[in-house]
Amino acid sequence: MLSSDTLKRGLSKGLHVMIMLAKIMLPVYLVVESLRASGLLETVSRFFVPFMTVLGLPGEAAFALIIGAAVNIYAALGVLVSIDLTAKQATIIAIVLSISHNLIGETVVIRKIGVNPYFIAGLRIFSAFVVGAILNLIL
Amino acid sequence: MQVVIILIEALKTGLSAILDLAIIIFPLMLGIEILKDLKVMDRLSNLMSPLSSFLRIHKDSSLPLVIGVVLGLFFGAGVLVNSVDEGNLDKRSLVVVAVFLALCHAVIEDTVIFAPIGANLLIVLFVRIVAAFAISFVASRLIKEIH
Repeated sequence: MLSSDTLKRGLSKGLHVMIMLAKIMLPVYLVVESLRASGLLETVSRFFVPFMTVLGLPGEAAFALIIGAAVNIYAALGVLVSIDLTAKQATIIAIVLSISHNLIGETVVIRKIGVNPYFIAGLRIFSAFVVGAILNLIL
Repeated sequence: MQVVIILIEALKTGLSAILDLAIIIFPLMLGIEILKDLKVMDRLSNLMSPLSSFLRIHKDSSLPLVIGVVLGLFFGAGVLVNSVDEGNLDKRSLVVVAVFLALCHAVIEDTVIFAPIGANLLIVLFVRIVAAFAISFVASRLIKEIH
């Protein structure tokens, strides 16, 4: 049955979760924003340009994928709007980004629930790449 | 000086993101407690039993799974943390749910966001869900009991 205890429990659990997420999000935002401002992501993405042919994407897409992986999908879209993409390329990059994005922030959450964050992050990058490559062949 | 500006910006975005979360988290956790006390939750878990038996996960983990898929990873994780605290979830279910949610969460927001670049949204959504099912299915069969 419902009682005032229901309300109390709901609110205290809400608070508990809020505190957990706040503790994660503030440091993550600081790290991610510094990373973005440092220009390091551009440098890293240059290394991934050759891999773009496997996905059927232009070389510039590498920066969008890296910034999406490190920051979030919105940041990646900011880069993508300035690149000419065919419908097929747009669909492929959307799928790769939808599987592998915001890895720093989301992986910290994964760690918080007690699962190995490196395993999950690695799995996301790997499966995003494999799914993208398969789609490049069949679409 | 530049550094300070960046840090302040980050702090501002972080704080506003936390407030956005609060607007959903409190009603969500309250709603779940109400459903639990009205015994609706048990029926919901039974309703989702095909999903939990397909992935061989504890039936209590289907709720965080569905919440994460619809609302987002942070909300799914929040509900998951509570289930862990209540001691219902085994480690194996936790890993399988984490794999599924890591690949596939916030399916509405994360899909429509790609409309401006001209992606085929139905393909994006479909492929992501299929990939999450396939990979978490494999994970559920490979991961034996974890202690």
